[in-house]
Amino acid sequence: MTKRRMFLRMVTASLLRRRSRMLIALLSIGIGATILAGMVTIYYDVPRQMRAQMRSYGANMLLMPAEGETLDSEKLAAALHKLPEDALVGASPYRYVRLDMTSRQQSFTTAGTDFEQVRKTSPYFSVEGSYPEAPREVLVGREIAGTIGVKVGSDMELTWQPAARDADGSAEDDRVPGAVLSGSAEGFGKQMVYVTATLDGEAKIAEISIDASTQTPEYGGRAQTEPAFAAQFIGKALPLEMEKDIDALSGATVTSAAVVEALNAARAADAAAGAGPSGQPKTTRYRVTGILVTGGEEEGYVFMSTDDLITLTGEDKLDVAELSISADEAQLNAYAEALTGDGIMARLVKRVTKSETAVLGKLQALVFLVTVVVLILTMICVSTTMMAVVSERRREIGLRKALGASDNSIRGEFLGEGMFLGLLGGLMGAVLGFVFAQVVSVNVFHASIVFRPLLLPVTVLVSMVIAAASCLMPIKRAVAIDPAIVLKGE
Amino acid sequence: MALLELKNISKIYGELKALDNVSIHVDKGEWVAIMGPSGSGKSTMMNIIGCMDKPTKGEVLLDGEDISKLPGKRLTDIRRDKIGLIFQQFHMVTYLTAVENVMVSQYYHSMPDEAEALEALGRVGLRERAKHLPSQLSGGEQQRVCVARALINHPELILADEPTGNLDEANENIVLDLFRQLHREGTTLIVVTHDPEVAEAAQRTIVLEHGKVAREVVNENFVE
Amino acid sequence: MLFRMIRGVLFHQKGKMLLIAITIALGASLATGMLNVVMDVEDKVNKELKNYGANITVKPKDASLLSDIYDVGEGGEALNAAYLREDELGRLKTIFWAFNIVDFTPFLDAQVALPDGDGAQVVGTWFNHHLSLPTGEELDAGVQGMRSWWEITGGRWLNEADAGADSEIMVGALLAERKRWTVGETVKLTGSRGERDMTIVGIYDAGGDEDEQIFATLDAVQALTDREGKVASIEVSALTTPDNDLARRAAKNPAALTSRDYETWYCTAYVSAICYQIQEVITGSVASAVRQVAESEGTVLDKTKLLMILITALNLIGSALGISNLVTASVMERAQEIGLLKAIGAKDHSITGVVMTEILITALVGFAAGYGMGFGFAQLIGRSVFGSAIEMNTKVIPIVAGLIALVTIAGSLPAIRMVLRLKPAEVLHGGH
Repeated sequence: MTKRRMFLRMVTASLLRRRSRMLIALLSIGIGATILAGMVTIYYDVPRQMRAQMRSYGANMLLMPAEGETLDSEKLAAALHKLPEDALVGASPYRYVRLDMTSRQQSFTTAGTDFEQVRKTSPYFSVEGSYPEAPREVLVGREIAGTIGVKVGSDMELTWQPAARDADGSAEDDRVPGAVLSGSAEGFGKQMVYVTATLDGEAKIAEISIDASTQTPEYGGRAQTEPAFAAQFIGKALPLEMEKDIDALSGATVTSAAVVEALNAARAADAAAGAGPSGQPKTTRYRVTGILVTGGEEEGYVFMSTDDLITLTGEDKLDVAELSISADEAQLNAYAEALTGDGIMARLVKRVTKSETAVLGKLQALVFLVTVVVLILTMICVSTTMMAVVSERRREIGLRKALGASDNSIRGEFLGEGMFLGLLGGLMGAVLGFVFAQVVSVNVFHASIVFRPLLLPVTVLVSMVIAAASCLMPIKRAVAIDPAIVLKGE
Repeated sequence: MALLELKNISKIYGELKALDNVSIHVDKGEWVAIMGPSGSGKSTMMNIIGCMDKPTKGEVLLDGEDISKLPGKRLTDIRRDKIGLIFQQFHMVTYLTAVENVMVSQYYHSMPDEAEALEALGRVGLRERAKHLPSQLSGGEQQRVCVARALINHPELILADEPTGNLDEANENIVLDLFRQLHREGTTLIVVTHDPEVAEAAQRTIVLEHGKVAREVVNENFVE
Repeated sequence: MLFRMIRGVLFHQKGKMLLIAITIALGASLATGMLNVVMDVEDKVNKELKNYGANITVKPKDASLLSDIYDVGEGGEALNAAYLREDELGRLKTIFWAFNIVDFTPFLDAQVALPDGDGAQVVGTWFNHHLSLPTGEELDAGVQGMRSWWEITGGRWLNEADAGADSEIMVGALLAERKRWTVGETVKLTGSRGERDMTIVGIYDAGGDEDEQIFATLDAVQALTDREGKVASIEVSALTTPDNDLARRAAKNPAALTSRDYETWYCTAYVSAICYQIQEVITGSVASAVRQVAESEGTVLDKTKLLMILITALNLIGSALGISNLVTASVMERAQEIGLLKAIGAKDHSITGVVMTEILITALVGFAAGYGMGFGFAQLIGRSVFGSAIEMNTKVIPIVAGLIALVTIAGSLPAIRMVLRLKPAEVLHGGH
C-alpha cells in the first residue's frame, strides 16, 4: 500500500466514521457556500432585474424625423432593426393630429399609435374599460371624457379636416368634385339593388343612377324608370333617412329603402376604407372602449390605432416614436448614436435615464455592501465552526505526533480533510445558492435568474480555501503543543 | 553495550527539581522497570527518554548519540525511527480500525503494509478483531493493539508508561507475556510503573524517589 | 455548586466560549444590521426616487383642459381664467402628511414675443425659493430640486436670493441654439401686459419639451402678464406608500369608504390621500397623481423592499443554522466532560441546566456585542449608499434577542440529548 492510499484511507475514515462532526462541518461550509453563491448571483442579477422594473417609468428614448425629413412605419421598423431584440422593451409610434367633434364643436389632439406597444412603453397608463382592439375603437383621456361626457361604450364621431389646419381660407378649395360612390343593398325578394352616385365639392349628390332591374317592373322597378324618384336625391348629403329625406315609391317601400341603404353603406365603406376623395373632410364614428388616466397631459388626448388614423387621413406619417430600452446610460447613448441617421434623430429622455442611473446606482451599491457584509460574517461563522470541529481533535494530533508524525504531515492530513469538505460543501452551496437566488428572483421579480457557470468553480474554490484556512489555525496551535502534555492523562 | 545512557541529567521547573542529577544506563536487549511513587520524576524521565521533552542539564545518549541538545524536529525523527511508545490511556485514533491504527505508525515511519500490520495484530492475538473500531474493543484489547503498534516498526527501544495501569489481571498477564516475548527477541524494554508485580517481571528495577535514583534492584527470579 | 461549575467553564474554557460568543455576535450583528436596513430602506429609496420629479400635480379645478388643447397663442391666458393662489403654497406644509412633502414648485406659463418677432413659451417658477414655515421649518423649494436631471450646459442655476433675480432667465438648450443665445446676453421679452430685459444666466439641457422653453422667476412672469399672486399649476414631490386595494378604492371616491377605512386611508401616506389633503388646503384645486412617477415608484419600492426582506430572511436562516451548528459542535466536544459528570452521579437535567446556562450566558454576551456591531453595519450601509444615517428601530432588539435565544437553544438541545444518550464509560475510555 502506498503512502498516498493510506492518506486517502485515513481522510475518508475520518470523514465517514466521524459522521456527526463531519456533517456539522459540511453543513457549515455548505451554508457559507450557499450564501456566497446566492448573494453573488443576486448581486449580479439585481441591476438587470431592477432595470426591467424601472422600465415602468416609460420611454427612455425618442425617435424623431430629422430636420426636413419625415418618418413613417417603414423607416421606424428599419431603425428598430438596429437594436438588439432583447434590449428593446417596446416601441410606440405616435402621430398627432387634431380632429373635430362637430356635434360638440370641440377639437381634440388625437394620437395614432400601436396599443400593444403602448402597454409596453407606458405601463403606467391606467385604462378604465379596456384598450381598443378592433378597428374604429378609441381611448379617450379622462379630461376630455369629463368635458364631453363620454363613457366606456359610447360612440363619438370625429372629423378629419385635411386642409383646415394648413392655412386659413384654403379649406373649401381643396374639396375635389366628382368623387363617385357605389353600393348595393337587398331589395324585395332578397334581390340586390345597385346604386352609383357622384358627389359634388360639398359632398352632396350631383348625379345618381339606380339599377333596380332585379325588382318587379311595375313596383320596385320604377325606382329605375321614374326620374322623379331619382330627382329627390340630388343636392342632398349622405347619410340619408327614409321618410325624412326621401319619400318612398308607392307600393315599393322595400326597394326605396334598399336604394337609401345602398348609398349609406357605400358612404360608410368609403369612409372606412380611406379611399375617399382626398381633401374631403372625413367623418368616422368611433366606439370608446376606455378612459385613460395618467395624471399627465395624455388625459387631454384621444388615442386611436395607427391603422385607423391612416384610414381617416390617408397618410402614413409619424411624428415621434417612444422607445423603452433596457440598458444603462452609456449603452443608451451608444444606441442613440447608432439610430441617428437616415432621416431619424434619436434623443434620450433625460428625466428617465438620469434618474434611473442615479437610483439603480444606489440600489446596486446597497446590494453590494449587504453582500460584502454578509459574506464576511458568513465566512467568519464558517471558520469558527471549523475551528471548533478541529480543536476537538487536539489529543489525536498529539498522538500522531508521538507516533512520529512531522508537523507538516499532520497539516497535510487536516488540510486534505478540510479541502475535501470544502469541495463537497462548495458544490452543495453552488447548487443551493442558485436555488436561493432563484427563490428571491421569482418572488421579487417574477423572473428566473441567469445561471452563471463561472460561479460554480469560484464557489468551490473559495469554500476550499476557507475550509482549509480555518483548519490551519487550530492545527497550528495543536502542533505547537508538546505531545507529552496531550498524552498525559486528564 | 549501552543503548541508552542518561548522564547527570536534571529537569528543573522553576523551584521544583523534577529530576536531580540522575544517571542511568540501559543495555541493548535489557528489560528495565522504572518505579517510584507519584511525583518521584517517573513521568519526566519517561518524557525525556521518549524524546518528548529535554533535560535542563546533562546528556542523553541514545545509541551513542547525544539527543539532549537536538531540535524538536530531529527528536521527532528519532522517536519515529527508534522508539515504540505504549501509553496508560492506550490513545488510539478513534475513527480508525485496529489494523489502521497500527498502519498509522507505519505510515509515519516508512510505508504502510496491511499484511505486516495484520501479522503484528496476530502476534498480540487480535487478528480477528483487526477490523474493529477502538470503541468496539475492550481496554485490554486496545492496549494490545497499542503494543502491536509500538512494535510494528521494529524499534530498538520500547517505552511503556504504566501499560497495565488501566487493565485487569488477566489482561495484565497477556501484556506482560507479550513483553517477555519481545524481550526474548532482543527488544530493549523500559517500563515505567508503580506496580511491583509488573516491575518484578523485568530484569532490573530502578527506583526513583524525589527526583533521584534511590536504589537499583536486579531481579534474581527473572526467567529468560 | 452550579454557579461554580459554570464559572469554571466560562473562565477555564475561555477560548471555546469566546468562539461561540464571537459567532453569536456575528449572527446578531447580521440580523441587527439587515433588519434595520430593511425597515429603513423604503424611506431611503423613496427619497432617491424623488429624482424622477413630481409625483403629484395640482391644477385649478376648471381651466386646465382648455390651455392644453388649444394651442392658444399670445393673450391666450384670458381663456385660462382659473388660477391657484400663490399665497396658499405654504399651506402644503401644513397638511397631515406635511412631513412627506419633500419639495414643490409653482408654475405660471405665458407666451411672450421675442425681439425677432418669434414667440416663445416662458415659464415662471421657483428655483430655490426660501420658505420659513410657521412650524419653524426652513425649506428651499423649487425646480432646482425637482429637475435633478437637467444638465446645465452653460452658466449656472438662477439663484433667487440674488438681487435682480427677477430679470434673469434660464433658457433651454434647443431654443438657445436656434437663437444663438449665449450666457450673459440680454433678451427683451414682451408679454401681454409689459416687457422686460432679461439676462440669460444659464442654459440647460432637459432632454424634453423644456429645451424649447424659457424659465424665469414666478414674480417676473406674473409682472409680464399682469397676473400677480396667481399660479397656473403646482408640482409636488412627496414620499408615498405604494398603493394597495384600499388606496385604489379611495382614489375613486373617498366618500364611499367606511369611516374606519377612511381613517386608515387618510392617515397613510398613499398618494391619493396626500392629493386629497392638498385639495383641502389649496382653494379650487384638483390634485392628481402623476401615474408615470407614482405608479413606477410603487413598483420599485415594493420590489426593493421585498428583495431586501427576502435576502435578510434567507441570510438569517443561514446564520441561524450556522450558530446552532457551532453550538452543537461545541457541546459535542464536551462529551467527555459530560460523561464524567454522569459518572460521578449528576442527573441529566442538572447537566442540561449547567450546559444551557453557560451557553445562554455566552449568547447574551455575544448578542450585546453583536447588536453594537450590527448598528455599525447599518450605519456603514446608510452612510455609504444613501449618504444619511439609518434610523435605529427599537423593534429590532426583541426580534434579534428572541432569534438568538431560539437558535442557541435549538442548537444545544439535540447535542445535549445526543451526549446524554452516550454511556459514561464509553465516553471516558473511548480515548476521545
